[in-house]
Amino acid sequence: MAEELSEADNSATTLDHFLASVERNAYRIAVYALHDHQQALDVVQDSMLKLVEKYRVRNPEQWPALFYRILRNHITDLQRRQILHNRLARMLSLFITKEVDGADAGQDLLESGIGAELNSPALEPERRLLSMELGQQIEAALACLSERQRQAFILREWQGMSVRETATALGCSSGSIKQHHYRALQMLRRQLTVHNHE
Amino acid sequence: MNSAKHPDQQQLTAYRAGYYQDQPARQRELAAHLEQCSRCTQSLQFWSGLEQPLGRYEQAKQPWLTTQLVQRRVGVTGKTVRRSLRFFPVVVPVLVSIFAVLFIWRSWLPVQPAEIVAPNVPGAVVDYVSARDEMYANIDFYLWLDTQAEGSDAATTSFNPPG
Repeated sequence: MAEELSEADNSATTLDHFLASVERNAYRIAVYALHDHQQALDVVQDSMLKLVEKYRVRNPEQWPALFYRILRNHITDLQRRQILHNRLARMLSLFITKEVDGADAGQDLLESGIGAELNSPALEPERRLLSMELGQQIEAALACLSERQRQAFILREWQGMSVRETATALGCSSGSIKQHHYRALQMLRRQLTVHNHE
Repeated sequence: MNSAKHPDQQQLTAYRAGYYQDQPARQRELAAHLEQCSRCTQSLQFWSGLEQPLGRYEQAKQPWLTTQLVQRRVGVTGKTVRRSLRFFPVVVPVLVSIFAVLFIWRSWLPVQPAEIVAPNVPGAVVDYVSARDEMYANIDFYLWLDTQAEGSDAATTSFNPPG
């Protein structure tokens, strides 16, 4: 019984480390796709829960691809529901004058808070300002990418996943991942260059 | 280092995206160049380095985000631990009650008569038993003697020994 308990603790610690390593990028993918902070948090948590329930016993090396695949499926489900909801809202708007636009609400979230207090004591004010400006530019540039390009970029560059793992996670071929990644890098370079020239 | 040999941005991007994985010779060539060229290496690392300023920006914009993500994660892993121990609070009381019932049931059972086994009997008891058996073997004689005694009382003197 004691061995089982310690094994369960080890497993929980490994899982916790893994989930901590993916939560931020998972949130980014979700919030860009769903344009809603709360839904993004929910979908990340649901994906974590499903991974823990169904695939905890799998080899930890398989977890990243499995987790992002679950996340992508959850996001697709929610997007379908959003489309249905928007159609219903549009139909209702024929009778009610109030305009409903779910997609723009999330964009406001991404763009809001720019003037928020910058409370990182580690950076000097000038550097902090530059960093904030760069962060804002990166966020805007990421928003210009298609969903697949953004996912491929985040998983390959920031999550450090291989082409094959990314292909498994996103449910497409390796060639497709290379193409999305390549186009994402080109688009980001273009966007960031434009911002810098401005 | 000859700058004329630097691959252009398009080639570096294609390398980064993994396009040259199908061309091992070109892949090796670029990898060898990147090992020696810090400028091209920095150019490639630029992409992964974008996460830091974005993270700082997100932190400033949404300072509560990290806390919320941690709370969600802890909620998930907490459930995992609970799941691994979910039967523990049920199994222990059930086992304890089963043992208690078994103990009480055994203590209330009527004592079964034990099979008589030759015990270590002291000598005096053995003498008593043999004397008793001998007495019952001659019971007919004593019954006859008793009858005779009654007969003498009634003045009948015929002697009819048993057998």
